[in-house]
Amino acid sequence: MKITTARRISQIFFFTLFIWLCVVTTLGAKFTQLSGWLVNIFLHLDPLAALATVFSTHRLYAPLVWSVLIIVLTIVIGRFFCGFICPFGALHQFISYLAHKNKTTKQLVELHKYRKGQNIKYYILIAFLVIAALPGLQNIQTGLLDPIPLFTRTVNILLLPIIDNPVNVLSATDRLYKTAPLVLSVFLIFILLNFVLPRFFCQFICPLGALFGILNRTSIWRINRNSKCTDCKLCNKNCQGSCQPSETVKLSECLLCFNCLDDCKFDAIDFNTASSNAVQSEPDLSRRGVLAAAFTGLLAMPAFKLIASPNSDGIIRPPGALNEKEFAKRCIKCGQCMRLCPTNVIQPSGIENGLTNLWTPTMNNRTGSSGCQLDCVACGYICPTAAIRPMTLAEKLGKGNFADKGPVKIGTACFDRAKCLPWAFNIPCIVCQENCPVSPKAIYTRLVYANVIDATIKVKSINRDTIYLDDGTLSPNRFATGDYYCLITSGLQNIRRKIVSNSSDAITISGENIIDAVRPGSVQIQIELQQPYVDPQKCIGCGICQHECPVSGSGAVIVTALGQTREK
Amino acid sequence: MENKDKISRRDFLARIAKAGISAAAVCSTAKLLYESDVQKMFSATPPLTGFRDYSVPAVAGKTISIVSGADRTQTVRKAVELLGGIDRFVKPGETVLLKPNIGFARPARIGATSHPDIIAEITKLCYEQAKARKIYITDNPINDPASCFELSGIAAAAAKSGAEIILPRTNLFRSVSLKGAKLIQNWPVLYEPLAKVDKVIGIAAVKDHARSGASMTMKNWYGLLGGARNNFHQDINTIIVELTMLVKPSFVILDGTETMVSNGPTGGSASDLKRTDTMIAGCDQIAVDAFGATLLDLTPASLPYLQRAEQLNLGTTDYQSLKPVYAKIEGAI
Amino acid sequence: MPETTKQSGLQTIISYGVILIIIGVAAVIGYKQMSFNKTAYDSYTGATIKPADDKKSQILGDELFGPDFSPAAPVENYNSANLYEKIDGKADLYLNNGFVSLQCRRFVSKSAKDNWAEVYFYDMAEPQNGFAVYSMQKRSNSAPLSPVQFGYSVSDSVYAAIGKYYIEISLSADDETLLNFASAAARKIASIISPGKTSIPLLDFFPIENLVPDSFKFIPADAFGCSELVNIFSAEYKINNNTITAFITVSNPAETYKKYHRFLIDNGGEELQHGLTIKDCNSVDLFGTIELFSNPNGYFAGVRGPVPIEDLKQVAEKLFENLSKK
Repeated sequence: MKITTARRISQIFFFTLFIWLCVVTTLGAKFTQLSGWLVNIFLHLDPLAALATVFSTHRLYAPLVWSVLIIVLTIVIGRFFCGFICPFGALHQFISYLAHKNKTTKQLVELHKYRKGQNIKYYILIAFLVIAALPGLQNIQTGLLDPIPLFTRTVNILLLPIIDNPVNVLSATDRLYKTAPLVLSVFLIFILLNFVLPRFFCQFICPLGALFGILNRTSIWRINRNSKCTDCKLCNKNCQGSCQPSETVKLSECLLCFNCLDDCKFDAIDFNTASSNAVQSEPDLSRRGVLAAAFTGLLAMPAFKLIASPNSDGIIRPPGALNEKEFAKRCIKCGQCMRLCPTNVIQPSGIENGLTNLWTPTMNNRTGSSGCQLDCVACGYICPTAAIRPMTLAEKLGKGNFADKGPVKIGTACFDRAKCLPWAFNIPCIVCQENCPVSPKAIYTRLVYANVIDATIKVKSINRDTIYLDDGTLSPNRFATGDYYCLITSGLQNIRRKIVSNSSDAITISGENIIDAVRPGSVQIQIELQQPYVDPQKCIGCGICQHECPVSGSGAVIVTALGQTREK
Repeated sequence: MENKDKISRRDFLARIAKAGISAAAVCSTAKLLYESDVQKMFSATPPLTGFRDYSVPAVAGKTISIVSGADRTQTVRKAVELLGGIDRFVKPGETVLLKPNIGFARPARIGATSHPDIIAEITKLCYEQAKARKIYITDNPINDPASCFELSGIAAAAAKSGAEIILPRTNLFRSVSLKGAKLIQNWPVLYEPLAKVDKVIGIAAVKDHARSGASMTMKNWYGLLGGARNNFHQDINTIIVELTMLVKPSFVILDGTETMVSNGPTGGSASDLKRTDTMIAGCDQIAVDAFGATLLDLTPASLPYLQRAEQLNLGTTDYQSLKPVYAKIEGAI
Repeated sequence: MPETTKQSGLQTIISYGVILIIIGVAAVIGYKQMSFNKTAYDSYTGATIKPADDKKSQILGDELFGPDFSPAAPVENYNSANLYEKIDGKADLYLNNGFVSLQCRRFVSKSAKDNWAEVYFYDMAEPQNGFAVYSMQKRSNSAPLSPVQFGYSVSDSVYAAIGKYYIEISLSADDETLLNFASAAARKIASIISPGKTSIPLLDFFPIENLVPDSFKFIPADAFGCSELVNIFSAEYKINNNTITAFITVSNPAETYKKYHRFLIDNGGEELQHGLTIKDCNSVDLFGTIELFSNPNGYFAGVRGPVPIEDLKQVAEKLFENLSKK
């Protein structure tokens, strides 16, 4: 069996595994659901996620220790991850194959030759790592281009919903992600670039590949050309890394696709321990380029801060999210929390929270099925870097050992009284109060009776429980909903009675025979309203009230970051 | 070419060694940095718990001095002299921080800010009489800091007398969690200027203040707070008491030469000011403010923060019990 | 072409190696995915909210019924707000007696799936509350659950008051083996809560001389015909073949003391001389039933019975002595 066959099997396997893991990122105990909780393995194997978080936090979060395995293997045998494992790389390789399969050998050799521009990825890596490490401003942006989080995000919030929403197999309700179009454009650009040059992303953009290109300089086994070489250049024909095995091999670009072994007709290519002078183990980096990249990284954060939007310090994040400063050091924008969240309330941020927060998780209570579910802490368990830290339900709810700390507060709900139905329009509602899951409820109401406009009504006569009106202009049973009252003023006495029914010229009120003696000239129709208030001490900011609010737009009860536990 | 095909034993060993060392280095670094508890990864540094005590040993009968007169330069010099002179507080070679109230970018004449004459005189006393090494001035004003220092005339007074102004730059703030405090918890405080000096002198004017009743030396420390400090107006008496717990100055100066009796604390018109021709200096902020309250025709009992500070033994509102030293400077301006 | 053969031979070996590794990875992932990670799952379903009290949390552990049984579900937790969901009819009985929380768990026999036992573990805040709900629901025809002092079993359930906890174990059937397992579990709970001693502190005030075994009772209201006497703990004594009742309450001792005295006099009782040196001790003869009572140390306590006062005094002296020591 050829090693390239094994490579293809490996690529298909890991690509399928990757997609399958994204599919099973659904809460539940079944085999096709979360069950074993191993859906983060690719993210945990990602050395760039590990290195960037080590740069920003100075510690290695436990599960990321898996990446050490990849690093060590890369040091010993080279960029096998790119050639054998990376699902995004496999996708690019497949697309490139389709794009260029009708080309002549000559064209293919030309397409796969080494280009100086391939060192751009090293500069991207350097800039990202400087941003991650910058004291005081540590911020992780590797997730923008790191292929594992990038592809995870693309599958999670773009491809799976596109496929699943019409059939609703994975999720009973459609999954919505507001910044999916941007994810789509990034994904499409990288896919289409394969038509320009094969595996364009891998060769020119990928910061993870760049990291491997730096790590593999001491690899013990390498591609070597031996003395049988006739200089035919055919080895370049399908070279996935464009490392030009026909010339001085650029070791840092070789991603162990082994196509050259196949393509060489003369047995002139070996993968062995020989030390040939025709191997360049360091990437083609210029000192000027490195400095420029570092400088870019150095200035990037202060520049991003300039255009941070005013609300970037009041972002509402999922429960368990670390304080904003620590959060920025960890979130790799993989979208796992958004994928797993059973209610779809966790949304990828756009640039409205500042450029650096693009695709980081925020809460949008108006999307999804019901705000942040009270008895759920799944996002903290799925987060691969603990930007949302794992916590027990007891801690979230402030029970058991956490009773003295109280529940974790995501934010605080505020009423917009200019929109709220009972406040602004005299319409009974209080859906928010009913849905508040906190016990005792964080939304309470006060009873008021408001005069119904244009409803001071002239009385003709009163008989027991029926008031006859001067003119018959009422629409029948308009006031029969049980919320309307009749205020009868007689002398100093105010009598308020519930309206049972009304015809065009008569109103029947509850209670019997109370106003025979009273002969008022007119009565006032009132509506009983429960006007809602938030008790900020009790509100945990779960956003269920905002989700349920019948007022369109952002609703009349809005969760703000006020009082959120993570900033305390 | 033939000799290139086979790696020499030496080269091979060298390559294995390099790869081995790299791999070992990665593994040991990973082990060193390994951390499974997320919360241990960032809550390691305990927050600062406050400032050190800048006060000097008490001297009976020299705790509070009250000088009447119209010329601030003369009255403040006399007031300090009556407390035992500036050299009681500042030793040769020491550094001193003056904390005036420079909250607003308004000229000195409307009385919204501490008067430059006082700054100039205290700086002069510190340098000439006490042989201080360096005088600093700082405040975190409400309006734009640089404009406040400039327009209030304090920048000019400082430049002339040799004091250095420390603008409230972002990197001078530190998060402070004051022990026993409810509000000053994990809160950004203008920390560095106080941390680097030996003595601290608070300088404030008597001003009407709608929310708290009166803004004097205790309220003056509000200018050390950063962050969204306007939240504290929801519980103004508590924050003033906590600020008094936070800062224990060497002494304070309260300027009652012109008292802002209305439209405080910004004022804006000469008609908001009343000539009361009094300069108070003292080591007990509460006693100084209790006396200052009388210039606004308020009783100490009507200011809850004075009462609460007294209950916490931060000072006394019964300034008479401290036997204030009185003096009068004759002559007009 | 030996070189090529060698090369392709090596390639094949390596290729098979790669495929072997892939199969290994697939196997491990398949296995992990099939073995449900309960810890992680529980953490977000809330099944494992741990009570603050560590001792309490270990009580309903997986091993409570030994290796022959396995838990049917995680521990269920109820508080005063949702107790109705679990025990609708009787919830008020617990709520009115200091109820804090209820934990429930069902254990199923591994050999016979139809045989199960459900443990109800009530935290009643105070030992006397636990005893109160225990006593109020006491069944006749019961077998004692020694060495647990306040515990007994009937054919299909086990009951016990241990420390501040009240425990009920109800069984799926009248099955002696099952009952034995349940009794063993109750003893195990007792040994975890208070090793060696399972008494209720309040009941320790009753003197042990002449005490009728197992005669402790809790009377929630209208004790001895007096509507003022509520939440009474009582015990019976036999002296010279006469029955004497001793009682203690902690609710409103001073007031109850006065009201009970008035109640006795209003109903025709006559003051007696008792000659005891107990402070504020009253003695009343109500148509032949002699009452001796006082309110020492935050309790209201007394002794009563249709017996000569000298017999009463024996019990009374000891009782008040115990109470005054506190």
